[in-house]
Amino acid sequence: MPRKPARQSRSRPRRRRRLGSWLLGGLLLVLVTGAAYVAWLDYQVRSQFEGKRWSVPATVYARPLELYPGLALSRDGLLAELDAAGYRSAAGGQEPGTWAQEGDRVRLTTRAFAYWDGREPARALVLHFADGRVQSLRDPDSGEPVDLVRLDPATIGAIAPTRREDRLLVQLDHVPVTLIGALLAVEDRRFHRHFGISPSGIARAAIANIRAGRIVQGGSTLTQQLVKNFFLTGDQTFTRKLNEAIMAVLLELRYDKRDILETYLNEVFIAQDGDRSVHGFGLAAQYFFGEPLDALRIDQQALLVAMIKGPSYYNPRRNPERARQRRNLVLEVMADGGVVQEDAARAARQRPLDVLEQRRRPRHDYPAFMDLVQRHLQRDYRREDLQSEGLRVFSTLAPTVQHSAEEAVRRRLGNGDEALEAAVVMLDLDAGEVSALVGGRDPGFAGFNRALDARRPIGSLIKPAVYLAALEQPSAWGLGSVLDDSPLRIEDGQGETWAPRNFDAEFRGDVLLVDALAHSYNIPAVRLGQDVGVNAVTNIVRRLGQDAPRRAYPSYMLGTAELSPMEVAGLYQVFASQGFRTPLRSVRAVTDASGEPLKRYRLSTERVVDPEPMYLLNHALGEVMREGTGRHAGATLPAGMTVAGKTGTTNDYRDSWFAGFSGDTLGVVWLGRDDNAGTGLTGASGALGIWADAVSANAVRGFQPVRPDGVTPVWIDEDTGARTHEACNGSRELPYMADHVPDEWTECGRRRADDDGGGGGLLQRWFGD
Amino acid sequence: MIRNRLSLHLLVFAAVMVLAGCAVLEEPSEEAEAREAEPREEPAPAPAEEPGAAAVERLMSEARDASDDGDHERAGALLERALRIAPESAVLWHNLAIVRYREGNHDQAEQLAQRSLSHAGGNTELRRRNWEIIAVSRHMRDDDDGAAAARSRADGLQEVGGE
Repeated sequence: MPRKPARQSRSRPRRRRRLGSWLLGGLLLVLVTGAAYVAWLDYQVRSQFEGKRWSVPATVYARPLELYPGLALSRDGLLAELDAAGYRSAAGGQEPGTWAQEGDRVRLTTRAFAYWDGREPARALVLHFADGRVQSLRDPDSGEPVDLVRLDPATIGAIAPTRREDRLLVQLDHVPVTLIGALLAVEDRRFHRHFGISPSGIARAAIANIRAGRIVQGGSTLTQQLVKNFFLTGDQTFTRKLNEAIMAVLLELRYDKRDILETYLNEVFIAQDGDRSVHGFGLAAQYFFGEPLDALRIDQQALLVAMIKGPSYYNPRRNPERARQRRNLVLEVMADGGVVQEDAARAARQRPLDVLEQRRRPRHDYPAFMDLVQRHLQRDYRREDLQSEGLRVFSTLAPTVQHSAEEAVRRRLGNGDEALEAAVVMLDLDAGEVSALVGGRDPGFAGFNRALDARRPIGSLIKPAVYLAALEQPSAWGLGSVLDDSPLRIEDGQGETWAPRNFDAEFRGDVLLVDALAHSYNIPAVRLGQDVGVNAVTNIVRRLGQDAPRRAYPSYMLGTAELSPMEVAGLYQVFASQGFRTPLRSVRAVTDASGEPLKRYRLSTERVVDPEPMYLLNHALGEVMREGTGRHAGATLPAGMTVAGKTGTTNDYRDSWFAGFSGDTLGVVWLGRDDNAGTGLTGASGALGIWADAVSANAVRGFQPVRPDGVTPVWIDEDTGARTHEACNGSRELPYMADHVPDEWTECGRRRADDDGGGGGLLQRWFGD
Repeated sequence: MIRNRLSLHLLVFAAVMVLAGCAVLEEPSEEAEAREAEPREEPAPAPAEEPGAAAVERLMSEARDASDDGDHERAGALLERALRIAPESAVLWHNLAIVRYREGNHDQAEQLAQRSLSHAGGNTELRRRNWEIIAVSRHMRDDDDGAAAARSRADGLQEVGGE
């Protein structure tokens, strides 16, 4: 008992103390929890902000068209280029990105563009066309002639993650000040003064809204809107609002106003385009007006700002009247806030909305080419960086070449056999650049990229390597050498025999080497390959830049090697460049988002075939087009356009190939089926037609190689390959290496008589020995 | 031996400087004409006749400036741009060879000079200069036999077309 009071007296302060420590503990707990919660929010907002800020896909541009007097380009060719680059026709052609045409004159205004090697300002031009060329190029204001202008290139795609969110990154410095003024005046007047949230802003917005009788201002700051944009669930609970406010303050503590504003400008949701959401002012400017942001007039800027409040409600395409009213309201606010002069705002209010009529896609889809660009870049960049760093990629795609290649496929395949697939590679020869790529019969479909991935037997496309191996031994072979086209059986060493046949199953006895290639006879090619040695042939293939087996069979001479159309383009590029190999490029340069050059892919070159044998082979490849299996292209090609090339057909018509070139353009076309069934087409009846269409549309210079010093033209007797005189029957001029012209001569007149008496084979023996 | 080698290097270096001084990024035919009044092989057609000549001229002069500033990357890019307009211009290939030489890329210097040769036709002076580049590039890659061979090609052209 006596203890009790004592205990009580002791326990009261203890309880008080305990209560205190409970309180303290509780407070601490709240503080710790609160701090942890804030820290968690901080982490959230930071990772979102950094992520959003940098998650800008790489933008890929086509090659810019270089305009200069004398350029081989028709007026319609220019208009096609302009269309691909998203230019539109407008009276006067005085706004950047517009053109106007009057007869053979076109007036246009380019858009300012930051190239990898510097920025070029917008400029007005008048072009005069005649005879398929740009006759003159002038500045319409001064009348001065202009040497050279780059037309700002088409945007051909973005390297983005699968999420269909698109962006065209803008930098704060390139955003018109009037647009920023309008944005702040309408959305957040106190942006530069508040700390993320703005109680007085909320109050002011309320008053302004009451005064206007409708909602003209929102209460949230830009920072809050940005935070809201990060977490796109739209529920408006109190907790959410609280979180938003805390995060807005955290954002302000961590980043400066410029960062926040720039991120907002690139992040804000402005429109929905099917499955693609349009974020940021840069893309919105492109999407609604087909122009870069810094080229917009103030009424256009005001319209974009107007849409933020309700991207769907104020969509100018769907609800033009509503959008116009809100735009004018924004213009009023701009004038009130001193962002623009009152009379400028008044004039702007009178303007029509001027959004692109129907949703016109200035971007054509180029899935096959974009695939090539990505593979090229992945050698140097990580995928994540390509998808998020806002890199600018300057590619080599020529939109008009691409369109003509696609058109050629469409025209020739039409609605025929649905299973027949196609691939096309087009090169701009001298630069070693890929100008177009078609990966299938539906070029817009981003599926199996046959131009890169369909490795198929190349058939007779290999033969030039066989003949080149022979022509590199000029003491043994020349274009007029007589080859044996009689039945051939080859033992493979395991008791099996192989008897190659010509396409037409005929045997011609003796044929000149040049004709054997031009008409693509198989038997002489196999014999020749046997004679020069399989290793000499595979060695050539390797020098031309492609892999070849260490041990090849005689059938290698007929094209058992499997290559993709792109690899074939690599082989033939060497022929077209007269013995110089140039690694093919699809990208010229890459810059970071701010335009700093990161990497340039240079032109490089290497002589891999000597000029003399190369010239001889190319003569034979020209003969293919004049007299041989490629001759039907002549009906399609422009008059006087000299070309060289080779057809290829594989067993059972599984693959139809053509590879060939003019002086400036190389094309490789493959036709076949994915299931490897027969197509019923030869190289000549299938691929050649598409090739001829595509090359006709683009080639300007014919293929006319300069004859090297060591080569001289010689008159050869067609039947015997011996030398003869020009006046004789059956004489034919062929280039020979000067040190290796044939020794034997034939006499005209006598030859004729002998020819009546016997076959060519006999003659060859008489004169050859 | 080592000293010999070193002095040879110095000699080559001096030759290169001379080469660089006179040939770099200039239309050789013009310069050659200025040097001597004697009639000689016709230089390439007058610029005004070629399509894009003014454009090429401008790019070439910008490239010359960039090269003189030591900005080889830009000089090379400008010449590549010009080559897309005039791909058969032996002078452009030659100048690109010099840019590559200047930045120490001797392999490409030789290859580009070879390419220039393939377009040079009867322009003896330009041919000679290409062989000069090939000679010094080979020398820098320690291919002394190759350098000597190229040197004698260059000297041969000197006798035929020069003086």
